[in-house]
This record gives sequence, C-alpha cells and structure tokens, in this order.
Amino acid sequence: MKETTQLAFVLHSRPYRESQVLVDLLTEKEGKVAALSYVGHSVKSSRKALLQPFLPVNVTLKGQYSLRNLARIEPAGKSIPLKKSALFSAFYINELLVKLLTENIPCWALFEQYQASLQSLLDETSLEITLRKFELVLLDELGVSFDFSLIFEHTASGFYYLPGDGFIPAYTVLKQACYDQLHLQAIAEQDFSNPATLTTFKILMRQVINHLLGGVPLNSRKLFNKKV
Amino acid sequence: MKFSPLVQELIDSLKCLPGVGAKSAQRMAFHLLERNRKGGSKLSQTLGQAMEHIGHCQQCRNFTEETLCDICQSPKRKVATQLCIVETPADVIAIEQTGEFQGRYFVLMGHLSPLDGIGPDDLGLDVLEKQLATRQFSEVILATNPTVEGEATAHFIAELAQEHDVEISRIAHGVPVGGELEYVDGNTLSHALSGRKNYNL
Repeated sequence: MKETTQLAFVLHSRPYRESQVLVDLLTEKEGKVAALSYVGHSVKSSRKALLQPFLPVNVTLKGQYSLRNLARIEPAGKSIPLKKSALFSAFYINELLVKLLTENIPCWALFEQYQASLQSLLDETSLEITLRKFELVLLDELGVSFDFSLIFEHTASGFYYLPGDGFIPAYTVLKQACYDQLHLQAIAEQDFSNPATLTTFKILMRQVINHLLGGVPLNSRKLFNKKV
Repeated sequence: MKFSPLVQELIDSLKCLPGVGAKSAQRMAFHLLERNRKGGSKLSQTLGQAMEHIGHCQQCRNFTEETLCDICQSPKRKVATQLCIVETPADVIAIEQTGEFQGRYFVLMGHLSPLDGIGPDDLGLDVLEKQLATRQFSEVILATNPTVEGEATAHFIAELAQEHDVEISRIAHGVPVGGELEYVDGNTLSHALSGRKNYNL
C-alpha cells in the first residue's frame, strides 16, 4: 500500500512493550486505523506530546496489514482546549468511536463531523445538542438511520423504537421506553428549543447505542454520573 | 529439547516481569541457577514476603507493609496543610527528591481513562474525600501528568475538593531546564506562554 500523509486525530493510545504504543487514529482518508508507534523515553522525544487526543495531526502510515506503522507525525494545528464537562463529553465521543466504528473503512462525513463537534464542544451551553448531532452522523455511518415519516402520518401520541423495525406507534403496551410524538417531530425537524425534546432524544439515542454495543458498558458515562 | 518441569516453570514465571520475553526469561533463569544461587534464593524470599505483606497506606495509598507509610507517619508531615495528588508511587519519589515539598501525598495509582475502563471508583477517591473532610488541608496540589487523561483526572478531583473549601492549585507546565525552545512541541510552548508569570525584580 502506498504511503499517504493525511489529517488525523488520536482517539486512544495504550502502551505496548517498553517503548511503543498502540494508537487508534481517526483519519481523514482511511477512517479508523490502528497503528504502532515508537515513543522514546528521552526528554527530547516529543512523540508522546503529539500522540494526545484532541490535537489535529498529520500522519504518515506505512505497512500493508491492518495494524499499520506510524512513520511520521506532525502537528496540524492547535490542540483543542477542552475543559470540564466538554472534556468528558469528548472522551465519550472517542469511546463511541473506539467501541463502535469498524476499522479501515473511509468515513469522510464522520471525520468532518468529529472535527466540527470538537470545536462546538468548546461552547459549554450546547454540549447535549453537539453530542446528539454527532451520534446521528455516527449512526448513519454504522447503517442505522431513523425514518421519521411514520411519526407525522400516525396519530398515536407515543411511539416505540425497535432496532431493525424503526418507530412503531404505541397502540399496544410494550415493556420499554415510549417516546412522545411531539418530541420526535421536533427531533426530526432539528428543533431543540424545548429541553424535554433533548431528554427524549438522549433516551432514544441511549437505547439505540446500547443495542449496538450489545451489553458493553460505556465508561465515560460514569464521569458524569458522579458529579453533583 | 525440553527443560525439566521446574526449570520450565521458573522460566514461565519470570516472563511476568515487564519487558521480559521468553528468551530473556531463559537467560535470567540460567544465570540464577548457574552463577547466583544466593541472589536467587534471596530474591525468592523477598518476593514472597513482599507479595504477602505489602499493601496500601491507609492515608495516601502508597505501597507500604505497615498501615501508614513513612511519609504519613512523620510527625512533621502529620500537621502539614498541603496535599499533593500524584498518579504513581514513582511520582512521589520524584517530588521527594526535589526536597521542595514538605506536605503529604495522595497516590491515585493511575488516572481516569474511560477507554481503559478506569473510572473514578478505581482511584480511591473515597479515601481522598475522607481525608479532605478532616479539614486538615488548606491546599490541594494537583500533580497529575500533563496528558489529556491527567487533565481530566485533575479536573474531576478539583470538583471533588471544591466542596471542602480548600485552595486548589495545579503544577505548572513549561519548558524543561536545559531545553531549547526550538525543539519544544507547540502544545507545551503554548501552555508555557499562557501560564507565564510576572517577572519580579
């Protein structure tokens, strides 16, 4: 495979042997890629500083197998100064990508959205909307998309969401979360002025994402639960 | 060729050390058996005792075979009003070697890292809260590593400490002594600039 230089973000890195790390990268051209990188322990080595999440970097990947070698890495901009809840939210996004996204499939739209989401996380007031919008694009990439047309056609006040089937009107009682029709309509129209809509959206996303994760817990949620 | 069962077991056991693979483990085993039996038996005794008796200090979570570690037992430090929060026991040693700090420590034994499955519960934050609740400390120094995870940990602890009415500080980021600005990465340099201090004459 040819060497290419491309824009990327480090999602996660973990130590491997004495002086190497295994990094998960979200790249512009190849999607999520796992790569092996040497990091020196000397003071002069700045590789570790570049292998931090939320810093845009230009990477050159080598190798023909699915585990690539990180040949070169250079900063491509300033690190995004996320703080407090925004930082925890960004961890959540990274965890979603690491756990859900398949490797080595190009995903332009998702990469764009990832960049945009990190930028908009800087605005602490709209964290939830940013996260939900990102989740929508991620689900789209994973082949799960919502068909909202049914919600406008039926007159039921509530709807269930079934993985695979989509929304079904709540004429019969099922043992799971029921979503308000008006809220779902607002979601379809991307109108998030009502806080209750966002709550419904969150519960809906949780149901879908939990289903996709298949029982694997998301640890970044714990960072939020503990807070007073 | 196969080794006798005990030799093989020795080699396999040595492989649990970090950075030691099959070949190195074999070399170590043969060295101990052939040239250094005394050292080997001393190692086995110490290792056995250490594994059995060493636990965590009840106050700072550092490794110790007693209930309280040396630092927590020191009379001078018992009345200290500064608490320094670090990630690993190695960080305690590093700070102790500077001789700058006379307060007490709290060792997290890691940092928050959702992707590795390390959450707030794994860092002994309940022990930390109990210590803060004693109202002994007037300042909490967050000395976690300057990585994204370290930053997140610092923030999480800062939020926890805030409720206990203490001053919270974070160690400074900057250019290493003897370093050259030219070779420092941009991230460090921008931290160093934004956190610059007044030059007092």
